[in-house]
Amino acid sequence: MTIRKFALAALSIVSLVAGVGWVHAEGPTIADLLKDQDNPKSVLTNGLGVQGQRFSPLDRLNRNNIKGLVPAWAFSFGGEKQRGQEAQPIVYDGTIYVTASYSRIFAVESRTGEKLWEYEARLPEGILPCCDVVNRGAAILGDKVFFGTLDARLVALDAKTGKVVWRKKIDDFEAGYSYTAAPLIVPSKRGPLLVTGVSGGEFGAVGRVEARNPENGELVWSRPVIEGFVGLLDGKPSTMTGKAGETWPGEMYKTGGGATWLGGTYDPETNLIFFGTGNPAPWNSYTRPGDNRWTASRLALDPDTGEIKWAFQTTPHDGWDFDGVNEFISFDLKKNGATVKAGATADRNGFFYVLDRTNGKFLSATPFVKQITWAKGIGPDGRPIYNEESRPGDPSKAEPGKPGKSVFSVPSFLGGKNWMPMAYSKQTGLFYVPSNEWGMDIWNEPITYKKGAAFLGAGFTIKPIFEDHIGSLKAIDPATGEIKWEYKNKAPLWGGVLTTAGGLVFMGTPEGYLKAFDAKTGEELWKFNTGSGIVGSPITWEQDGEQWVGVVSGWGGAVPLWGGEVAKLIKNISQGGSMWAFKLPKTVAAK
Amino acid sequence: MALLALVAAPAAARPLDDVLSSGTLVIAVYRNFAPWSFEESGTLTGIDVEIGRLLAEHLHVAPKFLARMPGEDVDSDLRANVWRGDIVDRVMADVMLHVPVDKELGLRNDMVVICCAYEQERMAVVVDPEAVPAVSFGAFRNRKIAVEGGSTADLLLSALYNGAISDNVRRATSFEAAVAQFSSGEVPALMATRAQVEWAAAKAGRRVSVEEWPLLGVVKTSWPVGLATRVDAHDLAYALEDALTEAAKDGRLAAIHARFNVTWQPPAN
Repeated sequence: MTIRKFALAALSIVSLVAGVGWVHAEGPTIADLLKDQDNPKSVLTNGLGVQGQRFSPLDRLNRNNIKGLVPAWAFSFGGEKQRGQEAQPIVYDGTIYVTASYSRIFAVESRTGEKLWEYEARLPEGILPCCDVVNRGAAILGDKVFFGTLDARLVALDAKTGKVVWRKKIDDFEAGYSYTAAPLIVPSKRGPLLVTGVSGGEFGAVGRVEARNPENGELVWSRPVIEGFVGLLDGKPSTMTGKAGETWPGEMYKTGGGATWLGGTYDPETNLIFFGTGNPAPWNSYTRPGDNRWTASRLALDPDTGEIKWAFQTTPHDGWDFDGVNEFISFDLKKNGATVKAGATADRNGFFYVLDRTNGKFLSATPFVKQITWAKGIGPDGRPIYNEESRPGDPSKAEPGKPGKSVFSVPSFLGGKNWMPMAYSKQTGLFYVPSNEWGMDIWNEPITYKKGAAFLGAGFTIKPIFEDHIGSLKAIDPATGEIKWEYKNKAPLWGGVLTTAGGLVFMGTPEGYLKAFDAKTGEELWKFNTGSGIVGSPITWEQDGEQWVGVVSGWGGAVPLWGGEVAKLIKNISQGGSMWAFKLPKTVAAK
Repeated sequence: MALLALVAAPAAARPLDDVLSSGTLVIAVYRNFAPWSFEESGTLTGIDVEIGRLLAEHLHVAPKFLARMPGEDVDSDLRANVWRGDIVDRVMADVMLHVPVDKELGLRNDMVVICCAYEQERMAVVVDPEAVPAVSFGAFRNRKIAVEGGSTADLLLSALYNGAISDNVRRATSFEAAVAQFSSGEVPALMATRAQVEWAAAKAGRRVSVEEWPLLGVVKTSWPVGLATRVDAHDLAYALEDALTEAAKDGRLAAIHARFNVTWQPPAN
């Protein structure tokens, strides 16, 4: 983007923010959402700001007084549905909006933890959500809150009453579609848009990013992420994504995968939406020679039209199930005295990437987990230098009825980092990355059946790399890739990170602790056991002149679905489902 | 322990006595799985559905069907349909139909009994004889063939001749979509299991030919299917086996198949 064009784009945002004619009088406006990172009195967006930095300017709570942080209340989600609480709560005007597993959302009084209302989606009998029963959070705008359900629907609720305003189908749950991400709200020339991806999908599913009118849920644009598919804008075909079959053999692109299951971030400075895409289909990479764009990629989209402004593929021709969905966080990179508009992402494939977020240009990639086998490194062009011996064997070359050659590959398919969001501190200039040190034995499993018919599956065993830990929270300098400190956790990490101007880093562990670390040194300063494993993302806000911290607790997500040696590390973790709120009382803060 | 679990979870699969006293046999079948179990004008029908009715009739109870989505593999279907229940409401069936009878599969799933093969599944093709005069899969070096994407047929054809015909494989998003491509004449051939192919052939509305050409595959091209109950419901499995043996002998199984234009293939050995 040229400087002149950028200035125009910036101007148009300013005018949008100023011309608030289409925003309801009640509730937060799009302007409030875009300023979320600067206003500690509320938490209006997933990521504490649309850029997703998870950095709070609050500094009341710091390393000297954190021992005084005490629980204020706990709220139980109730019922028998106790697994997998992966949400990040929203805080607005004395109310917390928090989603829970099995497509539930609660409004809770933020000072007392008293329930105001609850909505539980009625799910179809026998539904088989592809990606566990989790929900990662809600969005808020005006008088409505929005969240997605396991049967692949979007629901808008009245923020005051919890009554359904509208309900729209994203796709067909019977075809294996689901929805678990927190929706994203962005500004556009026609007003705010509610932006989502899709989760799952059986054979033939192709990932896409979609924007809807938050007032009524009507589709505004849709952008398929696989080359050869044509997008939609205002109900009419728009442009083709790339060129048909350019990086796919024959017609394989038609069923190419690339699910956009984790949602996205937005950068007001470049006016771009950033979304990641999942692995290609089918799983067997030998049947689809080529780069298979844009699977396992980050895409930058124009919020007005859904056009792709740039794309960057982290794992071309993926053969390890390295989804490219992990969040892309905008930040200003200070390097050699210059400031670059950059963005960073810690990929499933174990490398930490820094890109120029104005054009997607590759700046650097460094390993953030140890003993990576699948690639020797990332070349100067941003492409992996593959280690082909680490690619799982070709199933068609296996002897019929015999398991194929077993390959040990690092990271495992659950990734050097999975869905759990990292944080970026404007204060330290470091990224705090929740990672896992594990690999997998992978082989072709000949005696497999699918829907009553013979099938060729893949067998996996996930294995820790080190004896004493899998989980590893790392502080990474984006200018050099250097790991400044590391906190090792026995069980794999599955929850998000928060950092504050008080020099703190917060993160939950499967063992149930919410922990606080010194952002500069990694020293553990405080912990509290919430009674079940934490796989959600913490938040902080200011209320009545006090700093509060909140997190959901409730073990689940993908880790307990896989057995092997990992199961031993987590067998004593109890299930749960609650939100915890902590505060630093004024009397303690004053000391 | 098992008893406690049964008391605590009324939705659990039950032994014979419980099924008889409740008056209902809960039967899991696959959803959208023609000609075995599928919806026609809003009603669940198909060969497996008819077999389910026959099983319930034998026990003098009413059948209740759970039409379930397939999971990643049959192992996860057994978990969701027979021994642990679905992930949302933990509802499960007393018996699941169309389970491959395979020793390995049985050993791997020790919470269920897999038995009572009632069918031999095997791969076949249906072709337009004028458009595909050949007698081997070599015909698809320069002709299209429709399959359900990700199915056994897809796996076999994609790997055949070192991938030489992979580009000519039309991978539809469902079996119905593959059938539609063949029925409309858009694609001159369709590959699936024999029962699926015969069902599609009857729907084509023109002269077509069903073939079983020799095929060396990366997976089995023929396997028996039967049923699964929970491991503590052996007595139920035995009773259902009796029902199937009788129905095989007196021609009811063959008649059910014929109603869907499918030839009954008795299980090998």
